[in-house]
Amino acid sequence: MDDGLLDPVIVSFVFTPLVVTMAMLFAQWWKRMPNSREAIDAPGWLLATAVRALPEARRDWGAAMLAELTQVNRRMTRWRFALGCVRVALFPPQSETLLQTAGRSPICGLISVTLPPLGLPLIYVAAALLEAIGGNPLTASRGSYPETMMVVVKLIVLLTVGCLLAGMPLGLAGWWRRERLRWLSAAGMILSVSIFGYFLIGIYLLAGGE
Amino acid sequence: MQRNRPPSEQAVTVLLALAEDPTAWRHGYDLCQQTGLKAGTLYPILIRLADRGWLETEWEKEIPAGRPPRHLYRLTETGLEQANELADKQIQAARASRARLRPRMEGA
Repeated sequence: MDDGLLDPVIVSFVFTPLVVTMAMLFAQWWKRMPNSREAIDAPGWLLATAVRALPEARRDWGAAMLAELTQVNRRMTRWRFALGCVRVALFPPQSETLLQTAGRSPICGLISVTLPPLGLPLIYVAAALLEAIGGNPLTASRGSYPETMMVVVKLIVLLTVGCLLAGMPLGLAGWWRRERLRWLSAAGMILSVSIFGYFLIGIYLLAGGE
Repeated sequence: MQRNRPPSEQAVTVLLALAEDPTAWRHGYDLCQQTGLKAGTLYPILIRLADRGWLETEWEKEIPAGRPPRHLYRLTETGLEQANELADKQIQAARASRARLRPRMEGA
């Protein structure tokens, strides 16, 4: 590990969970896209994608806008019509109070999936800070760093552990709140446990397995 | 909680367009063309009118092959009453402004 933080082993150890999680989320998102991608053009596809974000009570309006788009022929007019409808699909008039809407939004689920894979890049930032000041953090002694920098690094390490573990309580909270997209809450909990385990194993191996 | 603010100028335009032939079912794109409103403005208005019970909606029953059924709109009785009321107000407002202008024009 002569390259310090740029060592491919360390880089792949830090960024693999993030890349894998992003790939999984992208695959899920792609799976939920309209199937007839070949049959519809870009404005149609964009609108079909956007109307999926509509709450259950407004789904009919999404279908209505999509059906209406089939009546618009000129290319520019189709784009204008579709973009206007996308805005409606993303920000539909509220039929319920903000609190009711927030109640079912998958906020906890989304954060539970996002935070754990961000933990490792965060600790990488701490290591990069240390390297910039006092040489390779894997080999340098703690005394070679300024005291204030050590405080910042400790905070970042705490934040890292917080991120790695956050998927568990947030996933449970999302499940308890009966949020939409409950699979996000489940994925958050699974990710949190597996990435934390991966982190512990990685640290053990980096420390030489002692 | 449903807010009952007075309809916006654009909502009044849509109401009056629908009130021109209150028995006919109308399509969204046709209303866009008739009122000159963009889809992003028209649909929230239609949604709010339907929420207030001023607009009834229905899916097209006879669907030509190869395209999805279209959504149809027309005013409910309440919607028509509101549209008529708004039309009366507009006429009164126009008369009042004409009456205000007349003395100035005569004095000039």
